[in-house]
Amino acid sequence: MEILAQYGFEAMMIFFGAGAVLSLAFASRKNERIGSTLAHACAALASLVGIAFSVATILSGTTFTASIPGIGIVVENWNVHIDGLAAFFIATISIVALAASIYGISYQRQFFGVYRLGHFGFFYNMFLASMVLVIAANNSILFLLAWEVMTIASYFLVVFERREERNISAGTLYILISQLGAAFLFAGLLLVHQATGSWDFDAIRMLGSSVSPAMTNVILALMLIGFSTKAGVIPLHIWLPEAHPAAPSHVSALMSGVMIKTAIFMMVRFFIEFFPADFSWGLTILALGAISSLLGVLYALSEHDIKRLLAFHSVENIGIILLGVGASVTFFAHDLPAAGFLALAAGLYHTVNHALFKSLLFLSAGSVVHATHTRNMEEYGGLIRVMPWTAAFFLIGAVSISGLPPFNGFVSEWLTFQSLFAGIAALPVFSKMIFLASAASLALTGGLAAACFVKAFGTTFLARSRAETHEKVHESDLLMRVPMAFLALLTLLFGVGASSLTPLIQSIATALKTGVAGGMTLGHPGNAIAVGDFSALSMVAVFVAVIFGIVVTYLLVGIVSRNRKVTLSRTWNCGAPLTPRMEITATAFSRSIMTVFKGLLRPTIQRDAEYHDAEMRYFAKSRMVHLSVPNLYRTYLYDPAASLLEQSALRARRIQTGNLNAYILYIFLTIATLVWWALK
Amino acid sequence: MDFLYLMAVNVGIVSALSPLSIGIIRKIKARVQNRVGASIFQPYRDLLKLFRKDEVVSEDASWIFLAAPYIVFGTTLAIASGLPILSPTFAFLPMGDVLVFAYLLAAGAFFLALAGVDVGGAFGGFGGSREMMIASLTEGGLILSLIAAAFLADSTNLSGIAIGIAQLNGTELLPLFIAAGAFFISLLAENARYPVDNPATHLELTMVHEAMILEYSGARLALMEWASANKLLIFVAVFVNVLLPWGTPLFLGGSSLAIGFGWFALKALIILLAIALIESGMAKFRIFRVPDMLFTSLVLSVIAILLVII
Repeated sequence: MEILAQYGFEAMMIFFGAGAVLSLAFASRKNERIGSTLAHACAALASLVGIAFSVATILSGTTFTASIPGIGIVVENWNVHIDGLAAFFIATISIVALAASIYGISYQRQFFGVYRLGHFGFFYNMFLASMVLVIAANNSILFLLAWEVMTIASYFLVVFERREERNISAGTLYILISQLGAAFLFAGLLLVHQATGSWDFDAIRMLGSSVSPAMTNVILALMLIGFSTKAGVIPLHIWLPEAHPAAPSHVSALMSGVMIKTAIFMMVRFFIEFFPADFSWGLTILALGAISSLLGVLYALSEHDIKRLLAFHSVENIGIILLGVGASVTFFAHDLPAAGFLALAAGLYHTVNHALFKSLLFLSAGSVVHATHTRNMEEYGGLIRVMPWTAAFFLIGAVSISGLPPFNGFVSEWLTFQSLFAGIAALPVFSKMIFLASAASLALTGGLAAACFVKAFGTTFLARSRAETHEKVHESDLLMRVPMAFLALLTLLFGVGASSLTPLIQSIATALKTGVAGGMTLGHPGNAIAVGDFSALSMVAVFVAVIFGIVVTYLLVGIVSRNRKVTLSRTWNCGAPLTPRMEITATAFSRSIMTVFKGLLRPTIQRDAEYHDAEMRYFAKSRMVHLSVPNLYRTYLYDPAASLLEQSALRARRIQTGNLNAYILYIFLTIATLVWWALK
Repeated sequence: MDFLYLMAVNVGIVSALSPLSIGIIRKIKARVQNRVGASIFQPYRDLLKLFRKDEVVSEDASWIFLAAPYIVFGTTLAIASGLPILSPTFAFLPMGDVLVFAYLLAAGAFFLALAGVDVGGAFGGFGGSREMMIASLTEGGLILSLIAAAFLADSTNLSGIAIGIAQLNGTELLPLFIAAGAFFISLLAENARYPVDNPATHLELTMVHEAMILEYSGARLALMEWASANKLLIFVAVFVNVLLPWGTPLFLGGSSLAIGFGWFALKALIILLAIALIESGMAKFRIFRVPDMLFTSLVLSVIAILLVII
């Protein structure tokens, strides 16, 4: 099995490398059709290999380690370590990458002769390979290297459509904030080196618990900030809704579906496996998760750009994953390992679920954008008639992300609720309160997500078209539909097959800490997932009951009403002619919820009117209402920080007088200080 | 596999009696308003009439509009199968988990709202928007009020909660009553009753439920009406048999079937009377006062949970 894992890992890297090289080799305008197809095909092959070896590693429960001879500058060898957790994340990345790569073959055709596809294919393969390396890396240097490549490669994917100005500014924001986050990681990993004397993660595994608590807290604080930046945790999320939508849709699917999960992976490593984190870290992560999930969904509701809406839902779902991870850290700190593993399994399950339905949603949103050439939902409408397959796939994704049974989102939300309930029942009073508040926030989030996706699906696919230009709109081709069908099928399987998957995911969690069992068992009729005697869930029963209910209803109504005629007619509109303007718009749909939460969102309204007669303002020629949700984080956090930095830089400039005597004084003072420090 | 029979019986009771519960509420309201009112069996005649009528479907509607009644009705059947109506004799019924209950309700609301948007009229869209606003804000109070009871009873299965609560007494019950109050608010909101919505008309500005189903006719309208009746009876059943389980026999067998049904009918009648009296004596809220009420429900549930766990 280890041989398989080793060959699998190497083959995967080779395929990615081949994809990158071939793409550059066929980069000329004449050959770019071949190059683009080859790049995506290589990525798809690599992903297939990745699925095969990572699933085998998970099932066999083995750990694969290997050393790649390094260049010997900082470390002798670049170690790779693929245990159950790493294999789980590689499997997740590979599944999404497989779908995205096949989809990309067809999706990228629209850019032939417009943008440089050779470069795209290169960075695409580098991006995928670096994500896998981030997961597999077993020392700080290789990790940081892969992390930076991941950021830079994805930056070039974000700015791929480089003639759109907003893509460039989104990319700049993305790379600035990513590097800011990476700076915290560099600092943290340098401290780790100082505390343990090694760049190797194995050394941290062994020595992590012997590091002094003060040092541990500093390291964890740096790691939390660094990884939260990549994960898009509020208030460090502001790059995410800009950068994810800017990239081509299959790259958006990868960034939202799996790239941000690498940060979750590293958080699990640092807070659960490497260091014994204090319970206050668990509560901090929990609080961040609760805030991100609730605010994320509220911001999503206020969006009418379909890809930005989905990007904000990534913020929300990262929040839900962090609820599981934070609860898990708290439980381990309070020495409640069974509940800790339950919560971790909930977080991991939601990680893979979110990867599946979010990439499904991005791919189907991509095929809408591909067909209509706009991301503005207000210009869609009625697309279900011209794009029935895309509509069905988007609907499945919408139902899953809203956490509605029997699809997969429900299972992981259920598990997350159970972990929060376990905390409410067992922890000290203060922690109970935080867990209770998180449970309330999760309950609200679930409902609001459903509302948001009624809006997204309804205004995009239902009713009548709002734009006249949609006659040319067409269904996507087979190469784009098959990956979506694959992901849609998986969302259903990961829901109905929960009883087979949860023990597996829990065993991945329990392998991180030795000697204790997890909190979940299988029992009760219907092979239910049971959490003690408290709760049990049988997804098979839910699936059968829902299908049975619908089918029986259909058959009985068919018998009772068999002789009835069905006629088509116009929608009744109080006698007025029916135009697309009668339909509800995306903005109007969420307006009522935004009014309810106006204290949090602080929406602004600006009204303009143009009158027939400026003197007598009774008859308006036209009226405009501008609704917007201001970016509070920029106004109150980032802009003040930026101006502070700028002003202190201006102050610091004063020491550069241009006067030679002053510089000699500085040199003298520096030498004097150094001599004093050396002799001290 | 005995529990499968019980689940089938639950589905049968809910779908057979739900039109009756609507008829009873209407009759009580009519009497309070000094009218004679229609017979309590009138809803059955209405449904039968609708099932026999021809149907008109909007040209703009897609398969979502056509399928939604079956999905909405089917989910109410699935929910009904997990309720402890006659008795919570099996402490675990596969469909009885509190979260399954809440999220299947949300699934029904999801497709109902989509169907409202699908026809492309102004009524359906705004009905859908308001329905989702109310449903999303209700969900917190609904889940947490039941979870408060779950912590009291140490089970999140509706049947397990009923068994656990039946064994409590004295001051242990205080949080339960607070949770029951929170649940009752969700009951009114989820079922489009006063003071949230007016179930009798679609010609009012704050309409929600009736606006979404405005374009339906014939068999599909019958299904939608019947599904909302089911939903009302499901909420009433959870209220009286899970949160207030006294009288309900804990074990099934012989005469306890009849006793279980008798207690259920009696308690359900009292709740229906309460709903009818509230509707007769109260004006509807302005739509943006409804969230205040729903947040009250959420806060009440949180208080109930705090009382249980601390």
